[in-house]
Amino acid sequence: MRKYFRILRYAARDQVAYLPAFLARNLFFVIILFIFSSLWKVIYAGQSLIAGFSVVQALWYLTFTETVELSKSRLLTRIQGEVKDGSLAVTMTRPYSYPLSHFFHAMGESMVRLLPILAVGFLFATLFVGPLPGYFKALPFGLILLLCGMALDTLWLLCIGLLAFWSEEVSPYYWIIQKLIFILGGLFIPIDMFPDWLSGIARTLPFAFSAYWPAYTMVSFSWRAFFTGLAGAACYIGALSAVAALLFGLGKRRVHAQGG
Amino acid sequence: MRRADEGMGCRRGRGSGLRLFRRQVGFNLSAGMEYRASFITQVLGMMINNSAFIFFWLILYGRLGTTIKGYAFDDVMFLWSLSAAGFGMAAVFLGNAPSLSKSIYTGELDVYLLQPKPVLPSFLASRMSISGWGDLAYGAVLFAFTQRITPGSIALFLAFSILMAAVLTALRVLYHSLTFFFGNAEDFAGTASEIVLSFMLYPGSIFEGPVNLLLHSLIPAALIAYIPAELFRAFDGGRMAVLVAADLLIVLAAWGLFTLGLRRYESGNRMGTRL
Amino acid sequence: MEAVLEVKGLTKTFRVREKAEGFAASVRGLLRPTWKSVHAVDGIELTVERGEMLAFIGPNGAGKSTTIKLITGILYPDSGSIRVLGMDPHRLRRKLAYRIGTVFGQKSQLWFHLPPMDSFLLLADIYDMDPAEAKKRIGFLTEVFGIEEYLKTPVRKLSLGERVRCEVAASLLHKPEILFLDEPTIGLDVLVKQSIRDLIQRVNQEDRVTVFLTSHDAGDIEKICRRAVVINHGHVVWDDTIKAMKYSFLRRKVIDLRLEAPLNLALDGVEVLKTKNYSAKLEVDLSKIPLDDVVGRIMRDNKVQDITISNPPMEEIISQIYRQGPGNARQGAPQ
Repeated sequence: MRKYFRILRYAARDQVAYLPAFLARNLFFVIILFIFSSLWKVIYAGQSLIAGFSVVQALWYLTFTETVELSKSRLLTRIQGEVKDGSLAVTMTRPYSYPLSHFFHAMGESMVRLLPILAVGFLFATLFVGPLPGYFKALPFGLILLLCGMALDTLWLLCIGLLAFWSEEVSPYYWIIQKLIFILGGLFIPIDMFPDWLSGIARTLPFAFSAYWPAYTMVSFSWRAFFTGLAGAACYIGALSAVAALLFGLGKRRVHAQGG
Repeated sequence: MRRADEGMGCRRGRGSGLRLFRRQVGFNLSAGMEYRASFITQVLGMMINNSAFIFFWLILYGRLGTTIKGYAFDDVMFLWSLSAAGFGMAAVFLGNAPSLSKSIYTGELDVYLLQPKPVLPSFLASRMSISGWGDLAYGAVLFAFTQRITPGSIALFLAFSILMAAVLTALRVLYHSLTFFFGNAEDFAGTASEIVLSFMLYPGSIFEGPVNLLLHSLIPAALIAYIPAELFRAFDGGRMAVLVAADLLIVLAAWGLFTLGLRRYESGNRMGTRL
Repeated sequence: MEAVLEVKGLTKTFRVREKAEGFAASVRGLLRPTWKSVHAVDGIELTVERGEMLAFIGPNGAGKSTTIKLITGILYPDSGSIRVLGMDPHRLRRKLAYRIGTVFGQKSQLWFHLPPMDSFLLLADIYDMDPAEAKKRIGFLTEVFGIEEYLKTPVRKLSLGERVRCEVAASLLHKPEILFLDEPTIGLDVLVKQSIRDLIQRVNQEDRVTVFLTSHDAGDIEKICRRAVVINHGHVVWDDTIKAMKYSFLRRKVIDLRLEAPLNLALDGVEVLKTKNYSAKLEVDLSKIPLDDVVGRIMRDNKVQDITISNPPMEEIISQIYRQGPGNARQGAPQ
């Protein structure tokens, strides 16, 4: 198990090298926050609550959903690259689990990306709409759910990446999942603001645990929300892990048959 | 002393410029067909992405039941269709703009200098982004579905798309021309262009104060998206004229900076000169 | 005879910003930059007549590329005058463009994703050629350059040799009067190099196209050109026919020996270039001692396993000229 944590550490160190991409990512984060703060302020002019959210909560909500989204690793390009250039043969024959190693690598990457994005989000959300009440109280629990959300995202990437064993272009699958998280997972607006017929279903889908539940717990903490978010995340993490294992098992056979 | 036009084949006049352009478009298109798979993937991605945002606006407007500072759902859709069409047009007809920095610091620009045609237009038109056709088509279709179709509205949409394509390209030229003076500005230019594109897709009326000023100048999303959206709803000839003038100014500024930069290029005094 | 290129007193100096090492120095450099002057071209005189085949040689950093860019009008000079076909190339660049052709080794005129045929048609439009004329010309060049087979294949799929052939053909499309080639055969294999050289020679002979070639490749210089201009440190160090160049060095012979014991030879006029165990390389100055004397003495005092007598390689001739420097510049009348 130690070797996986080593992989995680190295991945984290790796990230520091990519400064320009890092700056660009954070710059666009600030821009999105600014645009939405302007948008929400206009929408909220004259009302204090929409679907139970204040303007402050609405913007901070976006901060947290984006935190998970922007912390995404480059797991997909990595696996696709390995399949395309044949280095798959090398990485698959190493003495550890291929999917697990990729998972930890990606999580390491994500965790390093997380910290500055969290800080930037805190700074600019405060600047644009003011501080979030109860931020520090909710933080430890929110962080747990954020990490779960990141794990879920990573598992999605892993599963899609494993599809590369069959299909050359897997990006379209990724885009679809990402957009499902955007819409059904409530990336831009809380699911509470959805029409009633949709919000019920959306809350239970896996996408909500990547975006909605962690963010909701942070801006409107309650034990109920936390445990719902945790339980749901755990279920879906388990399910997706099983899918990943299955895909890998099938894929391994295919790779051996085809010669890698 | 031999005569200037001897030994050259018969020289045609300026009119052949248009034929050249048409031919270039045609060839770029056929070259692009080679990349059919990649084209389909890119267009698919763009459509999936845009659809997600359309859903977002649908849900938001559904919840609000009212306009957002004068912008109704249809107005936001106009912004999206115009942006797609303008972006697509720029990518298709003047698709080589993003490569300007690279051509400067690798010296590839020399090839255009040695041709008997003006450098900038020749350079810009020499590449076509095939996926741009997807954006163009998407913009047109979205427009058809969400706006009222009349000869007037179509003409206006076309005009605004052309203006946007021109200004987007001019901005790229402007940003990339900084490479002439300060070394590789490729990343900066890419980021700056992305910023403009980001702002273009949101109702412009939500921005006030200094930011609004910015959006009318350095990040001219207002000049290519917001004001056209307002004019489309309520046309005003005077305002239109001012808009066209402002856009023209940006195009001229870009051309001017490029010319200055080219002069610098010809002096050979570059940052990190390669001999 | 008509001069198609006249260069007088050409100079070009670059101001290059000095990049400092270390953080503190870099910051200082940002606020108060220091400039270094690089005298890329430092007084060049050159006259080229119509129909000449000229090799423009020099080590890296000698000013070759800069000179060619000045002559084709890409750069403007600090002082001096250039007249190409009677025109100032920088001010009348576009007008001149109709009458000159260029092949730059690293930069391509062909559109990467299109087949050469399409590039030819596009170039024909760029040079305002009459469409019917253009078609005829393309047909002609296709035949001469033997590129029919891959005329419709996208350039990105062609081998380097095939691409260079198309590049040279493209440069000749508009029937230019002068052809500038900058390192055209770089990276090509021997057979392909030879065929390109033959083509360039043919073009020069049949159409009286003046050829201005820069190259590092001794073979290019020897086999295509009749005149060589050597440039180093920004000015001309040698300007004469290839024949003259070889002649002054033909008075030397190089002898490679394989012996059965270390070399035993000490003769005035014979320089030992290198020895290793039982092999040796000698250079004989024929103005000091006749060849048969040398060979006789070698055979008499040594047990020779193998002996090879050859002319000094062109590379060596050229590097000797590089080393000579400005004091020994030789100006000869072009043939």
